[in-house]
Amino acid sequence: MAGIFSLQSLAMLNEDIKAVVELSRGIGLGAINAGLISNKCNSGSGSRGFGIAAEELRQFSRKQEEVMHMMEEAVFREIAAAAALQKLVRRRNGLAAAERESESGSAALSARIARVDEAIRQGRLEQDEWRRSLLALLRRSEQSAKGGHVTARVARMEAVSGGGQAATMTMAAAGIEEQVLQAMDIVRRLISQVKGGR
Amino acid sequence: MKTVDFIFESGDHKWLAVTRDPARPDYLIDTNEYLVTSGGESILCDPGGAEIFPDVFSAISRHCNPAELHYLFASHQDPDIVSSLALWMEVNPALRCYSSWLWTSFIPHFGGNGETFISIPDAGMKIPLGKITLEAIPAHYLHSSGNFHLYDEKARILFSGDVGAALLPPEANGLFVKDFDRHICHAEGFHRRWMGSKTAVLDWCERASKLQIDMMCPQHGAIYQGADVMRFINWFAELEVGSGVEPAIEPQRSQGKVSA
Repeated sequence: MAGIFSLQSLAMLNEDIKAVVELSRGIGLGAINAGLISNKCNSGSGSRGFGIAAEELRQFSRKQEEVMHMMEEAVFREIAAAAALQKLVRRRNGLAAAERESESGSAALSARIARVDEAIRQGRLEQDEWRRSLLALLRRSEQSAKGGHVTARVARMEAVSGGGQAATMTMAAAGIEEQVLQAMDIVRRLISQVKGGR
Repeated sequence: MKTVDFIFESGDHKWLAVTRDPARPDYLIDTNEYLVTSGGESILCDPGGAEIFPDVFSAISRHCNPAELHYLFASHQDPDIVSSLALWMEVNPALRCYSSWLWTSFIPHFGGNGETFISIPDAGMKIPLGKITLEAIPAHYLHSSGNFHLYDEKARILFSGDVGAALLPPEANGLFVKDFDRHICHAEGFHRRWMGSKTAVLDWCERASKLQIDMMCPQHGAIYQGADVMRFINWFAELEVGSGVEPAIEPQRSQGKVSA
């Protein structure tokens, strides 16, 4: 079992997820802009290829945002579980301190501590399960981002054939590629955070 | 899930109201929390009980980073006000909590340590936050013996803790008071019973009437706006409070133990 997630680390995860949502929205807007540029330009197969890549990127951004919202909801659910776990740990510490001080009745306290320990163990198992499902979502997101990166590079290559709009198309594609790379970096950081737990 | 609304925005100076939660369990009183931000700093007014911490945390997280919450403001010491303290400190161990000097050795039973608390003297104090300065306004005995409200002169908002609170039926779920006369029926019993001193009521009414208040934000129920703020102050000034004393004395009187 990896280390348990503190409320602090869950807050950090949520901030990273929000950052990917923002980047996905930026990619979506960039892709809409790229599509408009492509529609304006009628210089043959280059612009058609650019237009197709732009549409793919728009869909990628939408799916990425959806996955991130699912992750946000998962984090919010886990915050409730982590808060409950914190309360159990505090309760356990209180009972253990009482047990140390107590001369009589420590057997009853020991039994209570054992029950709280079992609840904590159960909570940690559930958090481990949550961690696995979050990792699955993150890996899906990473795969999707890899695809998005390839598509952004294709768009950049297609932009060269964009005739009079080639420079504008190249700039639009480069902007999208940059955002996809940033999102991928954050998703990879999230994967390592979720694997480790804190 | 709690409802979240920005009730004031001017650049980075904002008031975020975290209010009614229709999904909360019936056995818990519903509470409002207010987050004030300015210049990269933030303070959460009456952060709430431990039971509702996940909802408040999630609601705030949608709009800002809760790890960057710098201060809590506890109007008084009740569990529905600040029993979530230990959990907030898990998020940011450097968090500081403003509360009446009267309670700085009581509230640590909920969490925190010697470094956590900033004592507010009885007369109140200025509270700097980013580019603005808030003010802790004395409201002692309303209902707690060490009690403060938080005034934002720039936003013209008064966070009024339990003063103005109303225990509303589920269908009255608006953020703001729409019909004062109808609303105040749900506040009357609460104020008669929870507020124990007429002197304290009049002292507060005097203070509040001198402030410029566009919104008065209680910890329970809907927010008073515009003319309803003054309507509330006038209503409160005339209210008979301390209703809990009568039933306690009456049975004794009937047994002849207390002379009239």
